[in-house]
Amino acid sequence: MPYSAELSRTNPTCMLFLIDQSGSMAEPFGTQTDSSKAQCVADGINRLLQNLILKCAKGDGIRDYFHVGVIGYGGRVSWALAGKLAGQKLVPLSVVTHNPLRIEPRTRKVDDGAGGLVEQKFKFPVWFEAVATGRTPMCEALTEATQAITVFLRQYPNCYPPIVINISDGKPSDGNPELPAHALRKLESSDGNVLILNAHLSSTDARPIEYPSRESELPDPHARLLFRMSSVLPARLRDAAKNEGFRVDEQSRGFVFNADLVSVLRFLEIGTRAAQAMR
Amino acid sequence: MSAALPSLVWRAFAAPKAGNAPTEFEDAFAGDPEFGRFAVADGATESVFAGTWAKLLADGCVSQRGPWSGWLPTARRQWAEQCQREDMPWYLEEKYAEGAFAALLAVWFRGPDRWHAAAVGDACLFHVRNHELLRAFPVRHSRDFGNRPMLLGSHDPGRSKRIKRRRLQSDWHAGDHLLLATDALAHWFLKEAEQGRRPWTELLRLETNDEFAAWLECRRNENEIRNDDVTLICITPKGFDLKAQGRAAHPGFGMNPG
Repeated sequence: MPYSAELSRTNPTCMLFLIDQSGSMAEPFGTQTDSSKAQCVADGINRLLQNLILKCAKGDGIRDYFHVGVIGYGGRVSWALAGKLAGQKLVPLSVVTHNPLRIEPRTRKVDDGAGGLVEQKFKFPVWFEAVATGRTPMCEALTEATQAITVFLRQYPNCYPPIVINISDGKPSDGNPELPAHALRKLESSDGNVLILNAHLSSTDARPIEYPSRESELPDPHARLLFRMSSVLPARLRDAAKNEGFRVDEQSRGFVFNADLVSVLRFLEIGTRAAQAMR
Repeated sequence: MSAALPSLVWRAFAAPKAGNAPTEFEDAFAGDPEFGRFAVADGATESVFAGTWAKLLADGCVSQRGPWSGWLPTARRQWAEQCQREDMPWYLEEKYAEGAFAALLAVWFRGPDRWHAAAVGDACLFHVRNHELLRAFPVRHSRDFGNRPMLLGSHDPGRSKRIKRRRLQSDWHAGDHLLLATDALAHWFLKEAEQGRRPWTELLRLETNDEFAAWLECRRNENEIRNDDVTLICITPKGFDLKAQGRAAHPGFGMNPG
């Protein structure tokens, strides 16, 4: 059965984020927030990395069940983890853990166990910062991703298939992304083909379309293009989507269109459910 | 004055997940045949210091009589004392704040012919009588595994969030057996039983942990048992010939046990 490999330190998988850093990402999500789309996505990625690290944390360190990377594409295409990780591509999770750009002190309210709330200090590490300038070279980003994942698969040919999460807010400026996406999805481990999940960010208040199963559900050519670029959800991720309350079937694709902030955060959460495989 | 307990023999077997060091083992077991109390615990791998918590739980419910609320606070305090450190990295602080979680299954005999059990999570008990599986507790069907059950946490969740434990009591006849297993083994056991086989016959024949480890490796290589920490307790009446029992229960089993 494909997409069933268990993650281990000797058989990790990888998670690669492709993040649109074009100028329009400086705009807010519809009318919902003051923050720009770029800032909201950056926060979401940082939170996702924190959660992934927490899932893999043991008393004696971080289990490297994942290698992670971020490619930003805007004014240029570049690997976007910064600070001590600058220039590195797919990085083992333990290395990511010990090299944040900075750690921000924050507070949150938590249940005090007696029906009330209490303020709790915690540390919020940041690895990825918002950038929004330039155009949308998505094809180049997909090609760069293909090269990095090819190298990863050579090293870990039996991994749970790599997961690529592409977050963008508009049409690519460097050609038709269907071909490089197809090339990327053709890569495979013994457990299945590389997964591409796409989130398209909304600039309006139109309702999100989440995990569609048929191209005909989509309103316009760009949405249908992204649909064709998106992988069908394997069982584990489909169950994660169901647990989040989405109605999905066996043809549902890893794709959200006109996503608002909540939609994107849930999309990212579902994407990390490959981590359920760790035992 | 407590009634006399049946004379019991218990064997416990444990094996870590293949690929892990023995120090990474997150199950635990405890037993006291004189007082007729036994327990297995399964630390949740996503939580930190889960093995420490599992051991405190298993030891706690075997060494203390009475309701769990009597000894749980002490176990929680001991977990904090053993695990808290100064200067923890940010992720360990977070994980420590979340706490460790574990499944716990406890069995205790009340008198010569009655036993009680209590369970949180999916570690399972199997009651075998006359070559039949009389009951499985708390999971009754193999399809019910993997549902992320509620577990016991090492931080007090507060009155409003106390975890309910499942309870069972049953009679005990001479010749009965009880097997306690953590979930990877329990799942296999139920699947075998559902297909009309008698998985206890192989388990009751095991004498040493090496035999158990070898048996387990075969099952894992055949993908019959998921690769995870495994713990098994077999409780049998004293004086019962396990090897004879195994042969009698398995028709077609030759003179040479092999």
